[in-house]
Amino acid sequence: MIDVAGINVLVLLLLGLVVGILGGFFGVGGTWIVTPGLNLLGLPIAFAVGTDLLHTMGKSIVATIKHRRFGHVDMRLGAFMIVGTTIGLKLGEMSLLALERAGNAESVVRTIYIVILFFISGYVLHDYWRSAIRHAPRKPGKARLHEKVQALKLPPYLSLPTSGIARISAWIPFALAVVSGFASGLLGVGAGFIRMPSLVYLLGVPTKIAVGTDLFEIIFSAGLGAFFYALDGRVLVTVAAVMLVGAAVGAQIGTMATQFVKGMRIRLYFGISVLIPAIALTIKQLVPGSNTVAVLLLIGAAVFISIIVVRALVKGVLEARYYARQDEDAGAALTALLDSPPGRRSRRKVKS
Amino acid sequence: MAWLLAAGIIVGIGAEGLLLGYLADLLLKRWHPERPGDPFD
Repeated sequence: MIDVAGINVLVLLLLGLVVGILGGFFGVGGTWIVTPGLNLLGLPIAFAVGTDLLHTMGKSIVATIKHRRFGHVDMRLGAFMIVGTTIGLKLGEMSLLALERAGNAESVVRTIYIVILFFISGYVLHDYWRSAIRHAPRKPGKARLHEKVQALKLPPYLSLPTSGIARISAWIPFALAVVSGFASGLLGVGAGFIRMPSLVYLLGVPTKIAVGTDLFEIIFSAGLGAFFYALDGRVLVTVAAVMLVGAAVGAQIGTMATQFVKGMRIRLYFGISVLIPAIALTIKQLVPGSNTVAVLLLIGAAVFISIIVVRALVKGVLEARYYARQDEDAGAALTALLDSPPGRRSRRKVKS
Repeated sequence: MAWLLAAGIIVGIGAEGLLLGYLADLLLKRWHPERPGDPFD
């Protein structure tokens, strides 16, 4: 079998396929799987990050085009957030350098990462449990978080018709972009796992539009990151190019699956997929020498969630075809009834 | 020179993404939902 940079091509294609599915479905870059995965397969960490960012950019282009076709991309919101993301990215990198000078970067960064992951998964899963399982009614007069945020009086304002938001203070998406960019620069990840749920819960963007808009944003954030890594010669173009082949198919699958899964269910799967890396990183932090176990847990979880997404897509397509066939049959029966002679039509009527 | 090379890499992978997206779209066309779902559900 052909190897690229010492890694089996089939392994790279499969890795690309899995993160492509997750990326298209959740609107995340999947750096939490690919970077440790490539590192485990033998790439030095700096090359793993740069190569991952490069492939993530390509994959996000594929997924964004598809999401745009389904009306899932709020271009105005995405374009507005690019500036804030870039500023945050730079601030995050500067903070990381300061921590490195202090000599405790790795431990601090990993602890922050774990806290953020647990917080996000806890919030998302609690919201699912409260809304979809317990069906807890809202207290009268108590506004949701995004309703309070949208009511903030802080000019200038943005109107986001694609997301169904009549008016929101421009400072909110800008601040969100800076914070997610900061996390991206500090943690060395795409930060889609912060941006996507924040768009939903903080701004009130519908889940599927949050997924598509986040992917649009990732094209620029990952592209910028990849550019800086490429300047340092820390990208392996062939590895990224091969992974992108698998990711292109995966991104299509993940994006199409969003058509058949309710927004609430997407958030449930997202909560689970964020919880697992939180657990894996905690194991890595607390148990010395458990790196391989943590990475295998991450990859196993990613494969498992991808299978759930593929299953949802297949089930959705088969159900849609079944109902379409029933519609056709009903239509044909009605046409036959209307075309039949009046006498026969009345007899049929009596029979029924 | 390094800037040009880095920009070339980004443009190259971006072009590959566009091409693969188009090809995958063709390949998986028969699986497309006929009526797109509601983005606001």
